[in-house]
Amino acid sequence: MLKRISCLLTISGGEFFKTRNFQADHIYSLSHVPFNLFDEVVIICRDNSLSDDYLRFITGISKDLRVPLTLSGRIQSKDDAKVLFDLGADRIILNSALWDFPQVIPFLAERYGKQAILGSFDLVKPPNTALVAYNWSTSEPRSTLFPESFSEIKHYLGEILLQDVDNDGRIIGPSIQKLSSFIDALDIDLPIHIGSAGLTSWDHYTSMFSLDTVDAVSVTNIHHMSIDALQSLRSSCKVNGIPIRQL
Amino acid sequence: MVLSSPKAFIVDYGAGNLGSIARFIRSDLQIPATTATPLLFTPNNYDFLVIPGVGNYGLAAPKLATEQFTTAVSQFVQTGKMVLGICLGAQLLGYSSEEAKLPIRGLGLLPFNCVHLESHPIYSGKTPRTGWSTVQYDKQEYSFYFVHSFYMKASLDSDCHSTSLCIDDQVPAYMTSINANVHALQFHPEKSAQDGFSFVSRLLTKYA
Repeated sequence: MLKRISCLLTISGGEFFKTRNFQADHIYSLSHVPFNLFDEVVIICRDNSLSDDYLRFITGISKDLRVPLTLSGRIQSKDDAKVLFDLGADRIILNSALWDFPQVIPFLAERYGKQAILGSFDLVKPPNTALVAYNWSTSEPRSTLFPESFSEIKHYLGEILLQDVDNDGRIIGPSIQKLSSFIDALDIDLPIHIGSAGLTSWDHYTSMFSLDTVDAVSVTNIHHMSIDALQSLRSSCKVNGIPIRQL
Repeated sequence: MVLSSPKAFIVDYGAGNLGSIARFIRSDLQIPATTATPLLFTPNNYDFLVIPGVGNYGLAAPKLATEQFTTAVSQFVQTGKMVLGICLGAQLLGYSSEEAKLPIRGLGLLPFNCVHLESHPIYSGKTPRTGWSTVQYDKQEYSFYFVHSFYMKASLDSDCHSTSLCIDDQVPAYMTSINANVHALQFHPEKSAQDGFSFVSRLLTKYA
């Protein structure tokens, strides 16, 4: 398979926000973004509930989209998932549900296929402690890296989405060691999708794609979302021997 | 549109992203389409049958491959009209799938069984097999989006159809009948940008 370049949007109140350490910074326009030139579009809901504004935003994106759409949205039940699939999601992202509602995951995998279910982990490394997951609801680190039931529910997931909270929105590049240590700890050979991880140069993308374990890398920087930037990124990957869809 | 006055029937059997498929058929291919349950499919009223689908074969097959629908589709195919199965819908055009816990029959329109990718002789990547792959068809290369864990493995009597494989890992992407009116697409043309549209448009030109 070719490696994927996805477009990852973080949405709050129905608007696309730049984030820094997962805190909303400022709003951007998406009018210039060529969504159909990406290999996938991933939308992350930053709010605590599915607002009408968020659903309206998704509807606006999905009606003209001709590449896969992956959606998050505080999914806690089969009904929550159905809302997103009905809006055009090809795959959905589970984050808090891995910790708080693991019982729903086997049902979703049976109904939609596990290929449609992404398990999302937001990584944070507090000073003097081990790498742990980040809790969106409290904006605090959790006490562990994986939920207690992960050894069971991981078999119902079709992909893992990783985000680096410490590096999000910063210009320090990815922490490959941190991401790799998480992937090693997963102990299951699922596709790995790198979300926000502080990538700012084409070399950063190449370094992520060069990992055999990584299958997809997201563009989260608005300045990397133009037609010219995306074509330049694809060319850079090709020059560096990364198997990427060429347009 | 390439067909003179076609009407499409998109099967809604509760397994799939019907909105994207309907938009692809109606808006992109500009074919008037009805979306309804298998029970409402009447072969004489349609020229083009679309079977979408994502999810589990074992749950989907009993809803789709009922005796009534199987008979109706068989009549439809015998008149030379076009059937397009997409992803799980493609797998349901074959005989069976290992994904089903019980031996549940598909529509049996193409001679293949679905087996897990772990059994594929060349593919050694992760499952689900997710992402884009390149396919050569009719001397042209296309990039398509795939997401699946089982693949269409042709039966021994496979001389009655043709198969197009992904270039990089030889996983079957497309199968068609010898009469070329039953088409099984393992990929999602509606999610494969311009190449998905171009490929299906090309298939449709044969019915112009």
